[in-house]
Amino acid sequence: MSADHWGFVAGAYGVALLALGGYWRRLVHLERSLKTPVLRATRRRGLTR
Amino acid sequence: MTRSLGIVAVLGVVVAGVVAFGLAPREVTQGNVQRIMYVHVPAIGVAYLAFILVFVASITYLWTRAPEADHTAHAAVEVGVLFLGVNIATGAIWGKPTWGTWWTWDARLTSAAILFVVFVGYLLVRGMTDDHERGARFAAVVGIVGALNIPLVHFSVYWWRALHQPPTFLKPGPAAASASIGWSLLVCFAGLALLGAYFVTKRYALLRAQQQASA
Amino acid sequence: MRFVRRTWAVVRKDVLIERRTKETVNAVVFFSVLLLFVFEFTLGADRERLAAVLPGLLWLAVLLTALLGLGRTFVLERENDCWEALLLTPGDKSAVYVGKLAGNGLLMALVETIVLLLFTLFLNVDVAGALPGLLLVLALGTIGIAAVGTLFGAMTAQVRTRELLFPVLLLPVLVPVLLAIVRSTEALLAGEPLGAVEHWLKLLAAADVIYVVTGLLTFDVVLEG
Repeated sequence: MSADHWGFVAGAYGVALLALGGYWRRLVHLERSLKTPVLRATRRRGLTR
Repeated sequence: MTRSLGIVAVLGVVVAGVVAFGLAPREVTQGNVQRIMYVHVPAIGVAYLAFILVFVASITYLWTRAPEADHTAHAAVEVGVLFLGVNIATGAIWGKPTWGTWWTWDARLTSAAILFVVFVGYLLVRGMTDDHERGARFAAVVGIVGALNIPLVHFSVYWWRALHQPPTFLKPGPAAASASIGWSLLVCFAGLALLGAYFVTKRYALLRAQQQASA
Repeated sequence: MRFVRRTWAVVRKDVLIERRTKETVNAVVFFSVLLLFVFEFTLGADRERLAAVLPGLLWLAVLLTALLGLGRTFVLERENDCWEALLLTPGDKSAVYVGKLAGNGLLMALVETIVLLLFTLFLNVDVAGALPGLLLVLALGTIGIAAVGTLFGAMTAQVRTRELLFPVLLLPVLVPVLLAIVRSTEALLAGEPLGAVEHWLKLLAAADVIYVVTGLLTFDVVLEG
């Protein structure tokens, strides 16, 4: 009967979640940073209602 | 469309998690530490899909110079490197209780590490070239060379290790004797693949928006 | 025929310049002697261990020295304002690629000869028996290293951080070639026949084809303004 090493399992899945979740967050940040300057620019040009 | 893909991807990952922990059986020889395979193996699969996309997109870019192809390649490299990193990290964490050390230069881990460095080089070339269009061109060449190199890496590393380690270490994860383990791996691969597809699509859209904003 | 003439023109130019300035050759010779000292200082105490890792050291010396030389493939053109002339070469620029590749091949052959000589003299390597097989391995390996090195050299010549980027790009890509060369050398020096390393030779040949063809097809793209 081999040991289960649940700690390592948790560690592995934790690392995976951190990496994948971190990349998701990076995408969200990028999207946000792309949206705001455009909004400001359009506002300046008086194109927003 | 991207948003629905994102929702489906999250669902896919949740399903994968349920399968990996709830439905997949406790493996006989290794115990529950084998469950790490359900993220470790699918991750490399997604990475390979990504690098195939890099290869096709890079060639397309050099042929047509369409920025869409370049954005696709760029996004695919990021996602490929990401999943490769997950594969390497989870592989090392699985290795510690199983083999006793964090890192053994076994064929799979070594191949993955080499590919990781190659494609990080792709991102470095993009970053270090001042002219964006030139960086895209150079990166495409690196992408093509890197992708073509993948089979060479596999054979060379496999042959290199074959003399020094028993074959059992070289088989991917557990021996696929159990059908339920096979099915579980497939489901988890599908879940991670959906996530990867969402990442590539989203990153592509952001790259395009970035390019249009600076135009 | 024009292709061959152009290629030869490139090779002749580089060999001529090198013969007069001896820049690269001097640096390369000096560096390999330096490496020999470093290996002796760090590993020389344990003679057996040194003998065991000798094939690896041999090729490490060749690779590191080659990095020096290969990175400089296009620096001459850059520094002397000849880069634009290169870009303006009419028609297919792959002749320039082959010419530079041949030049690099010659340089690497020189490096390999020097390193082998130094190792035979100072570290007691007996290459005599394995020489024919070793020459084949050397030839196949050299083509592969030079093919990628020339392509990436042309790329990085145009980037500010070329000294950093060149080895970072080149070394990971060359790992399969390096593995093949070291394993083959190891086996041959241990007295095994050429047939025992057949799979490695096939891998080297495949790598050579892949790298040279890719270089030929993408060199134009790399040289664009």
